[in-house]
Amino acid sequence: MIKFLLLILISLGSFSKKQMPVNNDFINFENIKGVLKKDQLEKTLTEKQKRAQIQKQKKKSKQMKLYGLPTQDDFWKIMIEHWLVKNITILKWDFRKPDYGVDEYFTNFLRQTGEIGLKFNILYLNTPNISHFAFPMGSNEYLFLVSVPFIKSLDLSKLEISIMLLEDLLRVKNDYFINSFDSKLTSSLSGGSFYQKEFPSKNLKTLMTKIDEKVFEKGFSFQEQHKITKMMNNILISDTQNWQAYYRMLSKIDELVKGNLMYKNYLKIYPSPELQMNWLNPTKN
Amino acid sequence: MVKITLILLLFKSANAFSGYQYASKAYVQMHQNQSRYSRVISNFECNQPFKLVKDHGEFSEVSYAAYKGFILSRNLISSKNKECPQDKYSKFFEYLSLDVSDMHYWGRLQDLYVTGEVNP
Repeated sequence: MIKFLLLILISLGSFSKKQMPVNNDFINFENIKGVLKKDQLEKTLTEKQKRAQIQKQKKKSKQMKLYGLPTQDDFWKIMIEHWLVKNITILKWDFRKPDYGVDEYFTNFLRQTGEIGLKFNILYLNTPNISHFAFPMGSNEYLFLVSVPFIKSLDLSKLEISIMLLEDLLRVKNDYFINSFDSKLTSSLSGGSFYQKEFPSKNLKTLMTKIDEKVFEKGFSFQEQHKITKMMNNILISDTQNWQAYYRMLSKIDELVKGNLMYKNYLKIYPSPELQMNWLNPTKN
Repeated sequence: MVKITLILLLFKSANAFSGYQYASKAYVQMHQNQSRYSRVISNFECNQPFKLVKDHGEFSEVSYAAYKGFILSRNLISSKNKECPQDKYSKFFEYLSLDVSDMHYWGRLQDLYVTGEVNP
C-alpha cells in the first residue's frame, strides 16, 4: 500500500516537472515577469500610477485655486474698495448726511436716456478734493463719487446731478479710466494664480499710486472731453429741458472753478467747462 | 399618522433653516439700532451666519453668539454666498494684510453706498 502511494507521488512529481515551471524558475525573474504580465498586474500598476497622478494634479489645482488672483469681473471692485478704504482720511466718505433722493431720480433719468440693465452705487464725499468721479465695479456695475461741498456750492438740482453722473458714466463705459493703466500692471494682479510665486505687493502699491494720480492729478484729456461732450449732446438734444440743464450745469461749473480756489484743480481733471460750452454752443455749430 | 408627523417635522426643520441669514458682502456691520449711523457693535466677514430674529424691512434684526443687533437687509442673503471674495481669493486677501481699521471701513462702505438698479 505504501509502495503504491510512493509510486503515485513519484509519477505526480515527474508529471508536474513537465507541466509546471521547474523550481529554479522561481529565481528566474524573467519567467516571473511573464507570469505577472499574464495576470495583468502590470496593467493594474499602470492604472494605479495614473490615478495617483490625477490625485496629485487635483491637489495641485486645489492649491492653485487658493492662490487665485481676482478675475476681470471682480478685480476693479476689490481694487477700488481697497483704495477707498486706504484713502478714508482724504476722501472723507464716512459722515452723516440726509437722503438727497438722487438715486431714485438718477435711475429714472438713466431709463429715460436708454441706459438700462446696470447697477450703481453712489458714495458721497465730505471734501472738495474730488468733485465727482466714476469707477467700473464689475460687469455693468459702477461706482459714482460725488462731493457734497461741490454740489452745494453749485446748488445743483437733481436733474443737473443726474446729468453730471451720466457724463461720468459715459467716461467709464468708454474705458477712459481702465485704459489709463498699463495692461501689464493690471494683468499681474488679475487672472491666474500666484501659486509658488511671490505675491505682487509692489504692483499693488503701484496700482494704488496710479489710481491716486488719475483721480487727483491727471484726469481726462481734451480729446476725451470733446468726445464725451459730443455724445452727451447727441443723447440730450432730443429733450430741450435736459439739454438746457446740461449747458446750465457747465456754465455753473465754469463760474465756480474760475472764482473759487478750492476747485482750482478741477480743470486738470475735467478740461474745460468753457470749451465744452463752445463745442455745444448751437450758434457756433 | 406617522407620515403626517414626519412631514410636520420636515416643514419645521425647513423653517429653522430659513431663519438663518448670511453676510453677503466682503465685510458687514452690525448696528445697535436701525440706523446706518448707529453705534457699530461688530464687523463680520462674508458668509458669517446669523439667526434672523425679525425682518424690519430696510434692516434685519439678527443674532450671532453674544452679538445681537441690526444689519442692513441688503447686506444679507438667505443662503451661503458663492461669490464671497474672501472664499474665492483666500490667499489674496490674506496677503492684502488688512488691519482692523481697514476691515471696519470696508464694512462701513457697504452701509454708506446709495444703491440703484436700472431695470427695463
